[in-house]
Amino acid sequence: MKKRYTRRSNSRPQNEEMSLNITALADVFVILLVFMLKSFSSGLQIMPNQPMTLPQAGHSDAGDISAMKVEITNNAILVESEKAEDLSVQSSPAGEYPGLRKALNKAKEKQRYLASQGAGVAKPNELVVLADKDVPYWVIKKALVSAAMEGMTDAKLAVVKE
Amino acid sequence: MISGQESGANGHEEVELNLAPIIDCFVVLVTFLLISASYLSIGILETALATPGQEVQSPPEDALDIKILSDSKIEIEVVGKHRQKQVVEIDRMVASVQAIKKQLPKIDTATVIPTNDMSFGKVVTVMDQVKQEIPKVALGGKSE
Repeated sequence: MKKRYTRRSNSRPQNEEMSLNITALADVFVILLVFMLKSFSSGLQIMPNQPMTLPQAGHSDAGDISAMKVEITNNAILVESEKAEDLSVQSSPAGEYPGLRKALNKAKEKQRYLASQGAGVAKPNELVVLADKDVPYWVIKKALVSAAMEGMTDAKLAVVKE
Repeated sequence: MISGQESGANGHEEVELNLAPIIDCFVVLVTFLLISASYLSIGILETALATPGQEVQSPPEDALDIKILSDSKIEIEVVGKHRQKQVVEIDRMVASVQAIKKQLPKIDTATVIPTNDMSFGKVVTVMDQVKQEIPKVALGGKSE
């Protein structure tokens, strides 16, 4: 079968100026931008500041993450991104971390001050633990015991969703 | 930038907003956000640390203690009214917990008790598997 290419006759004059309607494009960009800014800001709160590999879990919740952030790597414990305890020196599984307790207390004081100024702050009895998957369990347990001694009994473990 | 067009003798002017520079800004912003976005989805496993001597308001009738003995063996113990204990292979754990849950449907609390030197990743894997059947999972450990 022969293909026939036809040329549509155009009634427009040849030198007519064509303008692209970019209003719809602008709308799409606005929606994209709002969506990305929203996901960018909510994701930032929980991201670890130290290089670490979080453990994976399939039955985790999206959850409310407005809690104090404690990061545990193989070398250090950080509270709200500030170093609280050095783990490179040998330590025993017994007892607690005095540096962590001090840092949690300081962070709580800060949160209390911010709350008195009307700022939205983390819940006082909750903490989110971001720990490397290779950290031995006793380090996590000792950190949770130290937090419990400061009245922070509700712990949330950050994991990567499978 | 606003460009104006005279529409004729009546003096009525049609004003058109030039969207091109705005679109340029949006393209740059969206590209930047796409590049810097993290595609990892971080979730939360709620837990609590079960400590000896902690007062419990209303203790459950039955609860589950899951002791991780080694990389392959797990001890599952029902504590409370219907006491029972079994040691299973780690890959049989979910099936065993399912069977116990079927037998004692009121169980809603489990305590995972790992050994001190076990990696946190392994502990989370076990907690995750237990969470399939038991909604409240606490962490425990040998008191030092």
